[in-house]
Amino acid sequence: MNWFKRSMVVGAVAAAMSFSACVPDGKGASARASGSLALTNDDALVYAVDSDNNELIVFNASSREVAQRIPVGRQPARVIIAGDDTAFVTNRGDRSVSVIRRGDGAESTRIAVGVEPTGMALTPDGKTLLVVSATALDQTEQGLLTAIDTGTLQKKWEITVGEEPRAVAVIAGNRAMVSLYKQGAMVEVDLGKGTVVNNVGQSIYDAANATRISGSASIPGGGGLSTFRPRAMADLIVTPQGDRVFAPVVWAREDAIARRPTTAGGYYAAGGPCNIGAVATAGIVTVDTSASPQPQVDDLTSCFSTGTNSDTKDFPASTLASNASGAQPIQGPTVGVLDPTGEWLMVLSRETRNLAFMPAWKRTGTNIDFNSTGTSIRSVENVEGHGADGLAVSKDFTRAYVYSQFDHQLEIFEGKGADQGARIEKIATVTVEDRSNLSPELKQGRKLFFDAKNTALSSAQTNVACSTCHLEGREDGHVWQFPDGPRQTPALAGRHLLSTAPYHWSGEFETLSQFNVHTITERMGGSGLSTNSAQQLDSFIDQLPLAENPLKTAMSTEAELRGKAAFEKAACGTCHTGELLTNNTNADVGTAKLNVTNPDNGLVTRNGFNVPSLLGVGRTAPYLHDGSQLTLAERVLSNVGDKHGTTSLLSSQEKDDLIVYLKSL
Amino acid sequence: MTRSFIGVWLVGVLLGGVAHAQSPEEEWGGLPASSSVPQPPPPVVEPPRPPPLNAPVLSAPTSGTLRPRAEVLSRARPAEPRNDVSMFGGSALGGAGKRGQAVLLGFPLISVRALFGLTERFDLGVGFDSYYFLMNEPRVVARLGIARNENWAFGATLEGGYAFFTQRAPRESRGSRWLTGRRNINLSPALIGSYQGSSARAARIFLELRYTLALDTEPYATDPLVGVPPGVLPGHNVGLKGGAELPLSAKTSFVFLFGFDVHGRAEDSVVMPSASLGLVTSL
Repeated sequence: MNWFKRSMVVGAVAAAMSFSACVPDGKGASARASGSLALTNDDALVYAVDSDNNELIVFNASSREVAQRIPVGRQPARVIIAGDDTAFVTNRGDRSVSVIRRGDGAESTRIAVGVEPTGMALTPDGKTLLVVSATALDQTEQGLLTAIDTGTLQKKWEITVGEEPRAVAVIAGNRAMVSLYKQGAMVEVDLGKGTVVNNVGQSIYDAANATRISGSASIPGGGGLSTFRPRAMADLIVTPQGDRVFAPVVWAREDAIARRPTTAGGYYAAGGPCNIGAVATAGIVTVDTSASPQPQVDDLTSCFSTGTNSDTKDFPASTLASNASGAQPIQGPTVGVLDPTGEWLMVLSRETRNLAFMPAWKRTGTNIDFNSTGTSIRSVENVEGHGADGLAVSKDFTRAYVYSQFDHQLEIFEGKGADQGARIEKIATVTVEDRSNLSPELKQGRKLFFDAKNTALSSAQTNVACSTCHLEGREDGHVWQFPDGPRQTPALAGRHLLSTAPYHWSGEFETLSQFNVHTITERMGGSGLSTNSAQQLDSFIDQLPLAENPLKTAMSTEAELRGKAAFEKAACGTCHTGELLTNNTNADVGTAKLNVTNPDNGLVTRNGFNVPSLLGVGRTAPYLHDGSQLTLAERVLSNVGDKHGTTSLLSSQEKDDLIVYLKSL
Repeated sequence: MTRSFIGVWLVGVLLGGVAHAQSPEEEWGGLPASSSVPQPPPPVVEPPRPPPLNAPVLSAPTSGTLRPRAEVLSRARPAEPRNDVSMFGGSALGGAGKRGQAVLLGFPLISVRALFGLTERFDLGVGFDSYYFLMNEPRVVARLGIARNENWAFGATLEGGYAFFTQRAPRESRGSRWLTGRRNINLSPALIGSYQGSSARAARIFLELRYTLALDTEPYATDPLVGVPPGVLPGHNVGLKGGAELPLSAKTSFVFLFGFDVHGRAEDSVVMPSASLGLVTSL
């Protein structure tokens, strides 16, 4: 009988091992809605925030009609529903959160938070609302995480969490993850202590570029030795167990980009991660959070063809292929949700107007061929509306709702059939009357700016939009190694582009039209815009509002006034002059890069760089054409040879004041 | 890695234990039924030599004993008991207090079984099936001998078990569920027919037709937007297996099985062959 006893022990041990492998660690707070959409707990009502109309739109889910339009603050960005169906809306243009009780026709109250609030999350007990704001009220470098008691609607605590936080998700163990939009990073916050305990930005980058970092000389099977960094981390999607978060990103190529002919898609098509997509390719970053956050990211340098990123991995492929065989192009992933069981991940992409479905925990299954395509997307559904930034799924996982800001419309998708016959159909589109006073020209220009599917703008190999790099019309903080030299993405918003000719860092384009032709046809691979469309696009870019600056006040502080004097003393105003703080000429400030793979071309070595406007400069780090100076302080304090202003004339105090002044612009 | 090592070690211990439990004369390498061969008869005293005759002279034996002839040896051996210890045939163990055990190593499963006779026709026992420790299923086994004669037996079994999987269902691709068709709760009735020849070492050949109701208690949406499935999702499998128990002794047999299972769930393999080799014993 000894062996029999042993066999029973085997069974017991194996069973114990099975149990131990399945026990989740704590709980998170999963949301089946994200961005501008939310569902009431009974799925009867669909809430959408409409940014142009400054309203919370309430749809009746069964009749598919607009039930209510509730005014909220300016530029409402996101909505979340609490357990008692109270809606919280972040008013991006009003530094506040609106509170709307179910059934009410008006907001109950408004809670003041930081600058440009966006992402929200509720703790699993529903007692705390977390809100992230792009910047604090007293600085531009750090954003805020604010904890609000949902009972008293009072702030419990507020901490700085890094540059431009955009989304927040509650994870297991009374912690939260916060995404940093431009940096493509995440920070871990201990909600009990109200402190930042971890930044996983570097480990995400290291995982994505493991081969390059390890120094491997050559990669069999292609893929080259490019490196990529994530950016535009707009959302965080957490599993019901709170043990994993997914973050839609755009991977931006860091190494030298070769010139490619227009017929090959333009040189933005010059090779993306794993040779999928373009120099800017949509992706997903996965981070396991049951213990200390661990990024689960494919090695984008060595690629799937080497076997490094096998299809046995238990997380979605890190690229959302923009031109994988048989797939729709995907660009501009904005928000995502998980189904109520936490197994299907859905990502809504604004620039390509579609909804991608993929397993959240594997990269195999029906219609998924990771080894051939490098993606784990199961299917893609087209969305009709432009500016899609809201997504929700019903509790029974039979319906998906998408809200599109630019067209003010709600699209409803429903699953039909089963097994081999399973398919998704759009069953309704509900359009909200647009009562904003935006001009048709501006509306059309906005659609063009955010459009990565329009072949007039972008080739099928490239699939990028203007907004892919100029995030929300601003910038992404990325330095591209273009054939003409390193070029940081310049901010467009609030810079009144039509008044700042010539264009480009080298200033070689006398008109915006010339610049458009070059960028659209040679870089993005598009066939070119009509005159009318080009005017619409230019008009939209020209009217983009400046990113909000909390330090820009009607009354300048004494330090700012002293800084303004220092600005003039150092002759900064020689070039950064006038209302737009640029003289629209070129200037040699001693920053040309010659000893790099793609050195600065003759234009800039002869003439210097086009002087950029300094409006809103406090929120456009890093600085200079090559992004070599990370902060304004670095820029002012490391000016060798006074080539970039005679800062040597300034005392330490004057330099400090100058920095304060620059931040207030 | 540690888990794999423990798994391999446990299999080793399991099989090692079985081998160790055999008595020396029942070692696998031993001759069949060598323990029942009688000792040669005692030496025969040589009779007094007869007086010399003109008869032909026979050569004298070379030793002082007479070697018994083969037919004498055969007649001297007592009747061997037939091996009736069947774990996979259609007959029960044959009475209260009787017992049998089996261990199988194969694909896709490794299994152990222990049956205890409760009545002449009814056995009850426990078992454990494992897809190499990625799925582990303790089982309860009941067997009813329906009819039998000297050679034929016809019976039915009912097995039920709860399977523990190391991976959750939605995260598994072609794993233990896909291979075995099993889910969290499995209920398997089967009909078994077997035939055994009359000789003591005759092989027992059997054929089993099995249905499995596999209840999934962690179902998930296999397609986007098809809905969250109910809490328990039934699935149906049918399997056909054949094989033989090859007696080594009255109490121990080698056993091999071949067969296939047809899986009813769309997400599982359609047909999965199976093969196992093992040992049956009542020690």
